[in-house]
Amino acid sequence: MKRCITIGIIIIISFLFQSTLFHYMELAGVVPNLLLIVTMSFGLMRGRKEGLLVGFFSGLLVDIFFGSVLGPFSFIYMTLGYTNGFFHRIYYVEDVLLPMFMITVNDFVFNIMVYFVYFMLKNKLQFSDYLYEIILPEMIYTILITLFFYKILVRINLHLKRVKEADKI
Amino acid sequence: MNFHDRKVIPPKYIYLFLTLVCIILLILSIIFESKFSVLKSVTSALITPMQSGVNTVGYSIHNTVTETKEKNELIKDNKELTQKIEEYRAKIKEYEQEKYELERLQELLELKELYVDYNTVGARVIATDSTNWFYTFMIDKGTESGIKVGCNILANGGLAGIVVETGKGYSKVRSIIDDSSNISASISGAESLCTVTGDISTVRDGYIHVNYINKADTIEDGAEIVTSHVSNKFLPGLLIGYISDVEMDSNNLTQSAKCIPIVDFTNLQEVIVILDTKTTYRTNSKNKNIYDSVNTPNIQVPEDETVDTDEKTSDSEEDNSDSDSDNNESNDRLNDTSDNDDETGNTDNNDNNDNTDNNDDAQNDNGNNE
Repeated sequence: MKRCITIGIIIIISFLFQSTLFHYMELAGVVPNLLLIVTMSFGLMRGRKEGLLVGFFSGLLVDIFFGSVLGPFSFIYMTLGYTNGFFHRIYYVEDVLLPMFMITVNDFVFNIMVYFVYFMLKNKLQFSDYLYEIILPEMIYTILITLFFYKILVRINLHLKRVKEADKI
Repeated sequence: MNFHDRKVIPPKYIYLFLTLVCIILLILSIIFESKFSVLKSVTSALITPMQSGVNTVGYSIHNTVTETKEKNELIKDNKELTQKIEEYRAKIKEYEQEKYELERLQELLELKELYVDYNTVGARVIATDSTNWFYTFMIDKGTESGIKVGCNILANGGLAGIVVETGKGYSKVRSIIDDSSNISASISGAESLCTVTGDISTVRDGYIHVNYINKADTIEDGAEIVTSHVSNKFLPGLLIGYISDVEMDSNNLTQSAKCIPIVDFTNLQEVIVILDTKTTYRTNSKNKNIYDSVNTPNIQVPEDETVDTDEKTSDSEEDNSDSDSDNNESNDRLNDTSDNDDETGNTDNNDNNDNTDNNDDAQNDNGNNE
């Protein structure tokens, strides 16, 4: 229960920051994808189930606020969270390279999927434009933010685990 | 970890189940659009105050950073501007004289337009799209200020976007640079209509596209692009931007150009909402009547005027009928230009229509039923 509430708050805060605060700190006209970092982190730290649930609700929030229909972003975030869960078995708390690598791949796949669903099907085929203008800057900025944000999430996760073990004893 | 020890449903099935949920949501939200807007307003009511708060923090940080930088610029600007004011004063005198002349001539022609003043309300931008792919934003005023779906948004003296969704205390605005935005527009100095299309990939270079310009028109760089009188979403005559780089399309039937928007979208903080929408607002101007006769055969008397005495309304009706005859003339003129199009090829004109249709469709997708 405590875990659910904490994760809910993390998702909402990430969403708030992503949609408001980070627009004042834009680099190359993009904002980092904090929700993706949350999804990736919980997928990696806690496995497939939690990854996909966190992803689903993150995506739903984006859909409700900025989408014209519900569903597409939920599906994209959820799929990424689920896929990340497969890497749970090679996850170590101290490992920094794996999340960095994962977020790079994740952000790339995320943007490709968005491009495919919303742009390519609308006959906007200048992929290289979108690659240089949006995808690459966002990837780099997101990786930079992951360096700090991931550490915080790991701390929170460890704390939650300790609380739960203490309760059990 | 006891998480794994517990007997739980395998993630595979949860994944499949939620995928189904996504698909069902997608279909339901398309079919029952109005019902889902309740869900949206509930979540928005929860999140928007928080966004507003966080945004205030960001705004103040941003302000202190940019304040010192702007101060020096402002001093420099001030000097230049005071010089310019003098120049403009002289010009205003000149224009005033010309205006008198114009008014006199218009009265002669019985084409005098009523002064168009819209009801407006100021609002602050509180949140921008969380992904980098779209350009919609939230403002902090909603239904309680009289904002409706379809209200036009102005900023920096130009058109910024259109309200696609509204609720208590918030409205969602799709800007003109968004990829799904298509606006029917006209260019000063040219008779024909064109379409202004947003493009997220080029807006970073400072321009969006203008398509379907009649190939017979010769347009100079720097001409103003304003919203056209045939659009049923945008009020006529709102400035969108300036044109540059006019080129002939490869089909040799139409021309395309770049439009440099007036609004600075990188730093949008305050906007003005026009509360009158195209469907509710009527004037006696000739442009308006072209629109009326094309799309809505029943000419409604403006609400403001019904309040006035009966004489006034009968006057305005006469005005309407008068300008209807003018209107026929202008319609003929419009038909002439479209005839030109027909000679060169039907596709041009059809494309144009299709595009405005698309525009409407997109708005219906995004927005709510009015």
